[in-house]
Amino acid sequence: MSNKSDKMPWKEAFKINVRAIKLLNSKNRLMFPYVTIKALFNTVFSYASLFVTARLIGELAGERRMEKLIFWAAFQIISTAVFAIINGIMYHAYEVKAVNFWNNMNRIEDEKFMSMDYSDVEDQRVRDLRDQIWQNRNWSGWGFSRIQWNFEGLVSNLFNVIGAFAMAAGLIIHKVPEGSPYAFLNSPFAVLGFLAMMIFCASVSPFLNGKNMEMSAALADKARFGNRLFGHFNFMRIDPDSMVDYRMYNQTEGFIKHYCWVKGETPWFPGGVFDRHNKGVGGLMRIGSVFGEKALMSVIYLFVCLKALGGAFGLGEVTQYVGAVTRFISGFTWTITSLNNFRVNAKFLKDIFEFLDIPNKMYQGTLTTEKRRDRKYNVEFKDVSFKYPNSDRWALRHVSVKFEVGTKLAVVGENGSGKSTFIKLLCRLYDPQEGEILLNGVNIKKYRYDEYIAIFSVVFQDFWLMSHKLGQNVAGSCDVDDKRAIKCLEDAGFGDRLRELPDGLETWLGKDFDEDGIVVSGGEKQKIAIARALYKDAPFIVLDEPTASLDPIAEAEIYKNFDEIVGDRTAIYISHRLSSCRFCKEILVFEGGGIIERGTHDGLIDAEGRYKELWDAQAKYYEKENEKAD
Amino acid sequence: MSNEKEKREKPQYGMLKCLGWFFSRAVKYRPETIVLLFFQILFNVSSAIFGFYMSPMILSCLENRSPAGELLLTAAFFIGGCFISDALVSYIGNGVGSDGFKGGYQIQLRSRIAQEITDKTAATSYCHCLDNKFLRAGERAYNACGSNRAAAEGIWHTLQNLGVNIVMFVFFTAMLTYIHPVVFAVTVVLSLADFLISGYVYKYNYRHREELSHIDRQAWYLQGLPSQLSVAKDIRLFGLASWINRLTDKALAAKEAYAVKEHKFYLIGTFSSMIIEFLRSGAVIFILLKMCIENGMSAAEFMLYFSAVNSFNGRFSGILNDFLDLKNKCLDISSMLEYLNYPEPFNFGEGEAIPDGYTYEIKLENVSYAYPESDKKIIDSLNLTVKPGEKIAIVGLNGAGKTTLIKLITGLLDPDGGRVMLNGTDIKKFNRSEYYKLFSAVFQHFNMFDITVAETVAQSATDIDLPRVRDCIEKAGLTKAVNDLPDGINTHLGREVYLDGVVLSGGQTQRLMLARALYKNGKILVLDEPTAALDPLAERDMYEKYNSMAEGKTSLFISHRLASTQFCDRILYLKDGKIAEEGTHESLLKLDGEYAKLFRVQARYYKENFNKEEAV
Repeated sequence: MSNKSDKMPWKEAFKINVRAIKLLNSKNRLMFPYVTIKALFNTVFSYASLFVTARLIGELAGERRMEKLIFWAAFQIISTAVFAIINGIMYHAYEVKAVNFWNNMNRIEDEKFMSMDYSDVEDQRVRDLRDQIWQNRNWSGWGFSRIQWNFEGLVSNLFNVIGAFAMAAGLIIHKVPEGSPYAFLNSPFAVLGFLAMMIFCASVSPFLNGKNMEMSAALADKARFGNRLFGHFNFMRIDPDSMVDYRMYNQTEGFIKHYCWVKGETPWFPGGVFDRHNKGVGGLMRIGSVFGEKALMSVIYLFVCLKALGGAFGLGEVTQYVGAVTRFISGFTWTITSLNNFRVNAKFLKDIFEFLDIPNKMYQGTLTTEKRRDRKYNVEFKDVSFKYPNSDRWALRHVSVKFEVGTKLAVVGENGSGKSTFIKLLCRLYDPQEGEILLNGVNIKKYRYDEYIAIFSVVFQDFWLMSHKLGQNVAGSCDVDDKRAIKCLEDAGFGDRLRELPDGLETWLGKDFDEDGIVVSGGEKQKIAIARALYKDAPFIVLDEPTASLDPIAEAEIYKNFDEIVGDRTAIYISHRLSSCRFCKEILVFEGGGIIERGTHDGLIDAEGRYKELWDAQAKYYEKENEKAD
Repeated sequence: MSNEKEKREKPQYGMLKCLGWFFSRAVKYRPETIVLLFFQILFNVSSAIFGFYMSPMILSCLENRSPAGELLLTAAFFIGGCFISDALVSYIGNGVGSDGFKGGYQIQLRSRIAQEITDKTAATSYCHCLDNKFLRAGERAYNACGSNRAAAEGIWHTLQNLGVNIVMFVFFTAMLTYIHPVVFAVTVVLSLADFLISGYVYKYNYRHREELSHIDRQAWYLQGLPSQLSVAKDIRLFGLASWINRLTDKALAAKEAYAVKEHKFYLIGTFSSMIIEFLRSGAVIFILLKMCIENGMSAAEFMLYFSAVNSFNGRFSGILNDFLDLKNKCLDISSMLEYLNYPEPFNFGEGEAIPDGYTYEIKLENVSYAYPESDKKIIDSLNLTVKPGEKIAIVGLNGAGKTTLIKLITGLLDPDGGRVMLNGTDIKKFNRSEYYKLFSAVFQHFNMFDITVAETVAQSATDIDLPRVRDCIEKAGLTKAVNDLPDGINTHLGREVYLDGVVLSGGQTQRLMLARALYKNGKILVLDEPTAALDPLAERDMYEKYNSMAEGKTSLFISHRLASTQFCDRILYLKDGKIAEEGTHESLLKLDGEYAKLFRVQARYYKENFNKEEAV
């Protein structure tokens, strides 16, 4: 991660900003051209109005010709009205263009998360980087959101500067008549001298503003920390589940207040780094910046007034020049400030692009899997070893196993023994470091990922259903084959509930998307997730702890229907409840990242190994009674 | 429909009451904020007045052909005045948030107010957590103090603007009346008309707020989903990316379509403002020009008065807008007050002293309970006596009322009918916070924070008995896992705050929560499905330790695994909110009722001579 106190060279900052603008413009079509045109119109109208007012004042201070006064007054009134309409239309058109800016910005990240290797989604460094990007944005809009503000500021101020040059050109061109005591102002040295003073004064304010911004951006780490701390401890969600612990363990008095008010460094509060900065150097720089602006104003007034006193031009021109030059000052100051802003922001953009540029490291093959009616897909692990990124520990070590087509396989083992990792490798969410996984004798890397993954239906323990329509959830798509969805829901044991629902497949699940949605229990969700797996109709089905949240009856129902659910598919069933091993043909026992036992239930019990120990741990509470009850 | 909604949302507290409360918080926590507000208004006003006169006065010097010295002095006076005012304004800070040093005081005040809201949330009667009205009140209260712009901090900006605008309004009123009463009258009437028309036009979103919130909700719900791990896995395995993309496209298109309608409507406001501006500046310029020609008013005066009219217009609509803004901020403050003053059904004041004792008897008399907005009795006329030191197991199907029963016993919920008694005293008579101290509880959901392991076990940041922490970690079977952490028991958990924190697995978390319950050493032990995430060996380990954990305590144990019930003194089989069967494991099997049936369903798979066909 980049250090925010280092300055990025202008050239690099420029490149990275151009890249960001191009990206944002492609996601928000025409937004940037719109901003530019809007700013252009604004500037033109603003100077036109200044020009007309100056003419009016000039006429009033001069000859006061009636027809001229009326002409300029009418011009002023009518042009103001016309400009107001055009500006209004431009403004609202732009607002429509910009309405989805934030959503589109988030979408860039979301699309990346959908396309990157799963191993990177899970990688803590990637997640930390993403969190940092979010926190920067929430703190002060650093990152993409700054570009929107900055770009508009930059173009409108640039136009302001250009307009001011045109309007103020006469200031130099008009000469003080010879013989006036102020004729010295005509000399190029005087002009250059004044220009030099102006440029000097004009640079004070942007320089100090830029420094101030850099110093405060350098406190980004502290700011993010402060926001995380208070977000975490001081703004609790009121949900019934977490509210229990607050009461039972008196958490507020125990540690929450301590973290907020005693222990936490709170950078924003009086005494914190931001406060010290604002009262000290930062505050002085603000004052210095105001001083620079006013000094510049003084120099300009001095030059304009002296020339006017010398008779170079009249009151109307004074109004025009002062107005133009004042706009020039703010235009110039803010142009430089926006440029600085772009430069400081470039460091934050770098984080974003570091995230967006994470390469897809997984080899993507091109083979297609044959569509086999007979579902004869052989999968084999050949001496597979795997470590998670950033870990030295082998999560799987020398695993070799071959799945027979149509077999029902139970996978058991202690927490952390490698069961879930095994499934993740099987679904190619990760690639092993050693050994290979073969599909019909070919390394799975050589297949197209979507083709390969099409042969697996997986219900993970932490499966996800969208808070959307039931039918679309089952189909995983906007296009739903209603008959098939209903059949799958029935096979998964959701049939009774489905018939109760007046909207059937069109029922909204949860209330996030639609307020009329229904609340479904954990067990029902599980059935919907199984239905989704069935809808996919893949030759392999993997169920990871599907009965964890079910009561014994519901669990028994799943067990009973297991054969129907699975049909002729190859099934892999992971569970802590070893009762499930009874209806599987074969059992794999994982320990310490390896398969230590393999066989049928009876065979493994006779072997008196790990499996028997696991089995007995649960079964001993049942066996004794079985004898009695039988 | 909308009428009814507005009625319900009518604030309980008036503006004065809200402001009074807010200022009382300011005085209590950060009185500096009030002084700073005064100076912000003062310096903004002086800056505005210096700035207003600067140009016309300099022009006037030129117009009158004053000597250069006088011109320079005039310029120096006004520019200098402007400089001093602006410098002070920018040093103190003028905007929202930490712009200038006033931000620190205002942010701290807001955080203190947020802490009061949080205290209320943490302490309020638990039944409120199920009450939608209370939840909505809470959401509003948090929104009112959740960001720099929210009422609890943003109100300073509103007050500052309002203050400056009022002073300047008085100033310009005097000036306009001085110029010409007609100018004043025209300006006031037209500004008011503009304000009323714009006010109506720009309330478009408010009038369509339900449509808008529906559209917004859909667009925002879809954002950030693909980064969640569970979502990311299913996206890949079920090829959900195109589905999510299509839904996102639809949602964003709906947002844009709404925005087109909205902004087309706003063009009415643009037109009306334009017409009003046309009339206003036409009339004013006409009158001023007339004065120039008839009364010989100077060009500098023309400019001064012309800009006075513009400024007056700005200040006038400024006041009206600020006042609306203040009203809205007070509405938000009112929702904080409503939340803070939400009446508490539980007794948190002085109550009867909790009887001293080593063990307690719990008695439920004819207890009934239904969740808010539901007619179904989750617990239905239930009677139960738990003898001191008795170990109770509670079993039943999902939805039988097991967890609800535990919540009634622990005093998280109060029954709709009947009484819960501790050693013969209705628990309503105790201070509820004191009552909670009796329980060591592990529920199915935990409230984890980014604090250290030791702090999590002790649930305290200041008062930690380290040997006891280690002992409880050992009892929960976590010693090895904790020792493997980078900083041992001083490692931060979670990564929301501390970036060096670690994330524990589900099984480890469940054990840690057990250690926390043991550390608390309450007189009554409550465990709700404590083994759901554990593997068979860890589960067995837990059962074997259970007796020593519950040694001498009254204990309640909920489980789906009927095996675990065997070491309890008594098993309650719950069905439809009643105790359908009770007794020891053996007696219930003999009874051959529902419990026995349930047990056999589970046991069948563990039998020696398992035959799949006869299952269920």
